[in-house]
Amino acid sequence: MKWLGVLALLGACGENGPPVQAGDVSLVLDIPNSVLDPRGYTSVEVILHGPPPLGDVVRSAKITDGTFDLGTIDPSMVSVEATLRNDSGAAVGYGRTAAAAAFAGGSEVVVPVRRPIAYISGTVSRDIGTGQTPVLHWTQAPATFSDLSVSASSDGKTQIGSQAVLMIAAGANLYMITQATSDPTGLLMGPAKLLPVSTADHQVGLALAGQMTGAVLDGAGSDDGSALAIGTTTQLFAVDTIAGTARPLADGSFARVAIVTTATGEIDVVAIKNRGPTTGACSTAAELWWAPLTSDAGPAHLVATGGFADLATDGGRAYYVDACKGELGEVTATAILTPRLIPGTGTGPGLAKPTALAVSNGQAYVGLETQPATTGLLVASVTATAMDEPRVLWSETAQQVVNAVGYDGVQRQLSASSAVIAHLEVGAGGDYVALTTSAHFHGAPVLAANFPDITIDTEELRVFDASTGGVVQRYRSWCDGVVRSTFGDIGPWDCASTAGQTAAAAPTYEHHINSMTFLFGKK
Amino acid sequence: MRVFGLAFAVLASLAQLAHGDPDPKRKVIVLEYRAGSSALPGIAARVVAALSKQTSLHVLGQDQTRAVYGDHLDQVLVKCAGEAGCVARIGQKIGAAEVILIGISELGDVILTIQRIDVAKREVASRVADSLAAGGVPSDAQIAGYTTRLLPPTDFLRFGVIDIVANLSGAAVTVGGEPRGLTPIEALKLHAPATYEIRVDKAGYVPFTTKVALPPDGEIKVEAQLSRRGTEAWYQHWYVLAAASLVVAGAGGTAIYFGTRDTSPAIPPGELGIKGSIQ
Repeated sequence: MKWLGVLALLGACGENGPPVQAGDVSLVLDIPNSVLDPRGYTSVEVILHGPPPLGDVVRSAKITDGTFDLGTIDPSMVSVEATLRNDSGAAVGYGRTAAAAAFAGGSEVVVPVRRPIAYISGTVSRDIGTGQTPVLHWTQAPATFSDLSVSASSDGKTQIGSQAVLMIAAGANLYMITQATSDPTGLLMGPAKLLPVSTADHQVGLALAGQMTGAVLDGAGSDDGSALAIGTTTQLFAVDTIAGTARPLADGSFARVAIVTTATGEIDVVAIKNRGPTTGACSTAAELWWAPLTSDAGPAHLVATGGFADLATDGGRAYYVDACKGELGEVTATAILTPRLIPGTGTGPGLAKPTALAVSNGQAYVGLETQPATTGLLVASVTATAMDEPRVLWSETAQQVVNAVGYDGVQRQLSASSAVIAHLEVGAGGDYVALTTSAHFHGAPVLAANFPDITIDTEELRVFDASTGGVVQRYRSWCDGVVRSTFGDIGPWDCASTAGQTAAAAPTYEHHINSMTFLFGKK
Repeated sequence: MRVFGLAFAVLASLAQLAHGDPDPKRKVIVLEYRAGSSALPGIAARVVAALSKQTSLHVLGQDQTRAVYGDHLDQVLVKCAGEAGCVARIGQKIGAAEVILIGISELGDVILTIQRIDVAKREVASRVADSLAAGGVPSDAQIAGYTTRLLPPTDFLRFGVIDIVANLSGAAVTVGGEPRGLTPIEALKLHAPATYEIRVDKAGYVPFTTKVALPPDGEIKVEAQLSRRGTEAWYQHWYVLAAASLVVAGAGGTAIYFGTRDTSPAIPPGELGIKGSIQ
């Protein structure tokens, strides 16, 4: 944030760093200068995006005394992504320019850079009953974050605020939504308030004046931090973060929203209305909506109807997945363009449904659900005419082991009856891809083993190395169940963790996962 | 990790079994009990195979147990109906320390229960259960998961023995990089399967080095013959070593040269130099 004096500072560093000459482009990686500064970086990797046919250029350079030299570039380059890396090549900071603009000699390009941090938030349901039927009391909880620039595994202790039901990243900016909960359903109700969260130190600021109605479902932000789109069960809202106002764009239940910034700098909202559940029969009643935010291109309007399950934006374009047709396509303000069929997906026995989508630099990450309880992640080029073979990055059938409390060694392995991908997002410009899953387990009573009838619900955050599919973080934020019968000896149970999985350090750190987002995330 | 359960649940009719470290080579029999289900054929044999591969236990399958116990084994097992004390008596007659009882029943899903019954105490020491979709078959990894949860961790620590004998006394023995003492040395019990580098060294003698792959429960004898230095190999002569050092030093100097020279190219016409800083 202290970037204005860069030229003078570069001049002062001239003896140790590369000299700045008239005509050079000065690239300033703007870190917060606070406790959340990226640390441990020794090199920088920069992707310079140019218009066709120039394409993208990747440069990397060693950082010496806070300065680096990337050689020479074509002045037609229009936007920049920068990743700070440590000695082992891991991303410890990432940022990108919000708008496209041609470079000029003597100009200064500022790229805000932040740590790669994933945020999850959600409510808490506690069983306060004493019988076999749970009586749930719902409350709000702080958001949890996982800082991928440090090697610590998540345990729920890294928290922000006190009542976060949704976190929204908008480039280098972060916002938190608070809203009241209701018993015993857990539905969010009352006015939804939006509070800025500092990405320098995670301090929560004062609520913006604008409020929203309906239970909040999803949110997205523009890279420049100026606009947010928020979907609730009753309306689609646009938030002007500078004026602090919220205005409704359309009526209806909007469960997926995304923001697209076009090459000309126009900001639009794309959203899915009436998204159906992804388990069970496929619903084709979902609607794709488009709403111009910064232009006079008219009001929010319906573009298409189908089995739309998720949206993503990348490079000024918006994309969708259709869970029923098994297709990945592009959506514009007026139509859906030629989609790409995803092999092995669609409706039919054994076929997976594409239910989640994130796109980064032309690479689509598609979340797959196969009934009854297998979730997976597939990577493919987003281009409809691409000939690349989609690659499965990860796939797993949900299982959960429960321990009989007080009976060492007595365990029960449960297979899930359903598993759903709730959120999917790419972090650090494509180094990481993260998703959250929720799964439901039922174990029938087993008289021979004194095992009772039991149901369990789990919610997890998984962060993968986007190139290899290796698990970087696997954090179970929620695991709770109900024992519906008992046979004498075994009473309470708890959830076991598997190898590579971490869980909340204590029940007070647990919460459901209503949202997941990265700073500078792509979804 | 929340504890969940019935508030009125009755605890402690079966006391938790306190485990010491049981003999990792004890005899264990694996029996299969079916409650009218034909699902998961061959599951007991797969558990026997998994235990034999993962542990040093003396594992007997149902056929081997029947050969010792008699052909009425299956009838007795059915009469036991999964009751731990009854099943333990079968184990007692075989001389087994434990019985692994695999139960298969169907209740919509296929219910698989695996109980580890302590023969002496006639109690269930541990148990795991899984419900599988009809037609579903547990993978080898799942079966390995069942057995690791069923048996104490010490059962999965396996060892082998390496006996190192040298023609000299007072030679230093190093195994896997760790000094193990001077010859003559007792046979070493080491984790297996693993590969160990062995070095036997004494001043004035050419060191003995070798690498051995130690299988679980295997015994390997290593005979180290150390001979006096005298006719040194060509690469041990001082002038060869000195020349090699020179080559290494030369390479280092080259690296330093390339690491410090100025590689920034002249800016071609029509291009911009790009330099940056972190602020």
